Amino acid sequence: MAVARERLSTAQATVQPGALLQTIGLTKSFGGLAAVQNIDFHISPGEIVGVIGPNGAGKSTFFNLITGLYKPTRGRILVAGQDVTGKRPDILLRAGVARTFQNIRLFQNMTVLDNVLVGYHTRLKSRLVGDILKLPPTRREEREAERRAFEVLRLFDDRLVPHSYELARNLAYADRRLLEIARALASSPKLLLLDEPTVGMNPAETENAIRIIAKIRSADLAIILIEHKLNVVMGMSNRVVVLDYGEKIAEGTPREVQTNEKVIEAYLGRKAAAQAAAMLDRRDALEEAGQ
Amino acid sequence: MATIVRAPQYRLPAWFQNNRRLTIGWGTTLIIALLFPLMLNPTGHIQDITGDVVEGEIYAMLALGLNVVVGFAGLLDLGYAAFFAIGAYSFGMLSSSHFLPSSSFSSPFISWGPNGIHANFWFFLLACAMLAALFGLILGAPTLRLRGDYLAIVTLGFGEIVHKVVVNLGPGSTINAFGWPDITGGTNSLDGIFQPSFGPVQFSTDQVPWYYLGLGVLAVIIVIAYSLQNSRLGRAWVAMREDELAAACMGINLRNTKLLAFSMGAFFSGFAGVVQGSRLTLVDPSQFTFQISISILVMVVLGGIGSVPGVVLGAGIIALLQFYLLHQLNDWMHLAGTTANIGLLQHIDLTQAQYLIFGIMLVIMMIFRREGLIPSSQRRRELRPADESVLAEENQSLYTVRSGEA
Ligand SMILES: Nc1ncnc2c1ncn2[C@@H]1O[C@H](COP(=O)(O)OP(=O)(O)OP(=O)(O)O)[C@@H](O)[C@H]1O
Ligand SMILES: [Mg+2]
Repeated sequence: MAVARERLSTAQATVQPGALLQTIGLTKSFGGLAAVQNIDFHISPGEIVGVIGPNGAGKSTFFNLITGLYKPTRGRILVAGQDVTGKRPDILLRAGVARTFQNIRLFQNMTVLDNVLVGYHTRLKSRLVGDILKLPPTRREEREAERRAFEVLRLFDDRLVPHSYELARNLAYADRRLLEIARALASSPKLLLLDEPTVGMNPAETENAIRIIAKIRSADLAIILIEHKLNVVMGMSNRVVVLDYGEKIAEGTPREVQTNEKVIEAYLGRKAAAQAAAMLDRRDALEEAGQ
Repeated sequence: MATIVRAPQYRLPAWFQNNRRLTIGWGTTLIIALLFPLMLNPTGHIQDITGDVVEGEIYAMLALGLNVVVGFAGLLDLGYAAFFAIGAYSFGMLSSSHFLPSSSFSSPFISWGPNGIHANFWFFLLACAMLAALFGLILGAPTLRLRGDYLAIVTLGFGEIVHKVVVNLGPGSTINAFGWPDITGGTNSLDGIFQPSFGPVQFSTDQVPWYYLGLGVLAVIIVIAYSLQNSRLGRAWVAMREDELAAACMGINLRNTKLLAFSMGAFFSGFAGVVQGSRLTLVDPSQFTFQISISILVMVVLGGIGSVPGVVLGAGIIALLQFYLLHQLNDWMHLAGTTANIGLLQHIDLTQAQYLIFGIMLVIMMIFRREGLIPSSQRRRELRPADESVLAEENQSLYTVRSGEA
């Protein structure tokens, strides 16, 4: 299977007509470290693709590349066939790519509602003069935005709506993660990138988050899901991509991936080894700092 | 599904609760402000005091402008007086004999000749404010990549540059190597600035008309400040202040949003510059020093960063201190000194210690009431969490994140 993939990767490096997002040979190096190497990836509308891999495999870096936070060292990014390589994050959002962050990055001192309204920012047409004079179109648009924001908040059952006028920072941890999803959804994205949406959640909260993600799934929304909890990824994804040391080592249906030898090695063999090495490194660093 | 119907009723929106208080507060302030000149004894020191109150109004305009940059958008600007100068000088240069058009022209709306351009005052007000806004864009552009301390340093530099340019574009400049003509009047100040008249009301040395004019302009600025705060742009400013990276990922164009903050801040100071220039009929470089930038910042911090009523109050307090309280205190000190025959008290001059007093006030504020006298609702909640459990929970979740990732 993996061998077949390797042979395919050159053939895949042509523009795929139906793909919502496609990356071709995407590479990012930090100094000598290639955090993401030569990744060919594609996703079509309505699909959920899981991205898994050990810590430091380059999953978040991959997200940072396709949302324009990092400029690729090599390779191309296409959204709906348009080359968006090296474009700014706000332009990528306008192109339909919205995301959440592994470490929650809400606007902590804005209300829950305002956070979602910021997500709606690009859909609002009012500009400076309209904002200052509060012209009727601006007022109408603001009312509409608020209505739409509540609509989004309601997707999260009773978790967010009761807190609409509270500051985001005062939400419970799991709800803050949900609010990040709400904020991203408010921009009506075509592609939603979720970076470990259930990390730090207890089983009940995880269950709830999964249910909500399943609920927002639709035919026009593609989702890329980074997740460490394998049962979550395997249960939700149409397709799973496995990264290790920045490279794509496997891709296929959840079943295919689970039985892939490279994946098993990366997860059990090398992960344990890497963790041990990291621990040794840390001890060395501590000792060095101590001296 | 029942939640759909109940949704907006969970709690009265915060803005509504605040609005009721705000409406009452502003209404009362407006009534008192309108009656203010009548409350003073017309035979007493009315002229002096009214003039100082107009200064206070101008302070408030400036504080509201700086509040857009510092409070709304979170960009620390230490050279704000530069924009004040640009507003005042563009008005002064156009509407005085420093501007020498090659022809004369006269019409009811606009006329020009040896005394510069004379036109509808509102036209001037808007035009010069827009000019200042343009300069806000120009000066804002090089700072786009800067944050925090670095931004503060560069804006500090701007303040000094504009001040020096204004001095050096005048006569007697020591560095005038190119022999350029007198453009700004330099340290001699630029005088003969146009003063408006509306029907029978001539604006000149009588300060009462200026008081009402300033009040009107201030009211307009306050309304604009509120509109901006509750708008698409206002939200973008706060989002950017909170987390630039996340804001960019939510589609906010950081460049435009920052430039608009500088530009709107400068726009407000343009109003202040025109009113001040016209009232005094002169502008002088000493009105636009670093100390002024700092005073305006003190008004914003004292009143409450990001809070419209707060910064107006802050401006009022600083004006009161500068123009009245310090002089009063001086008199009392001198009196006490004479009675008790203490030499030090007889010669003390507290007005010289103004900035020391501002400094002490800021230190006290930072210790006891960091959010300012009338905090913006946001800052209040930010700095005074409802109870400790919020903080405890935050630590808790920090811990779970870490252990979850391990
Ligand atoms: N800005 C950066 N500068 C230098 N190195 C970086 C940077 N960002 C990421 N890296 C490195 O790139 C590698 C991939 O990191 P990344 O965060 O993408 O991993 P990840 O797969 O998301 O891991 P995790 O599961 O822990 O979130 C790591 O070795 C990391 O240290
Ligand atoms: Mg990551």
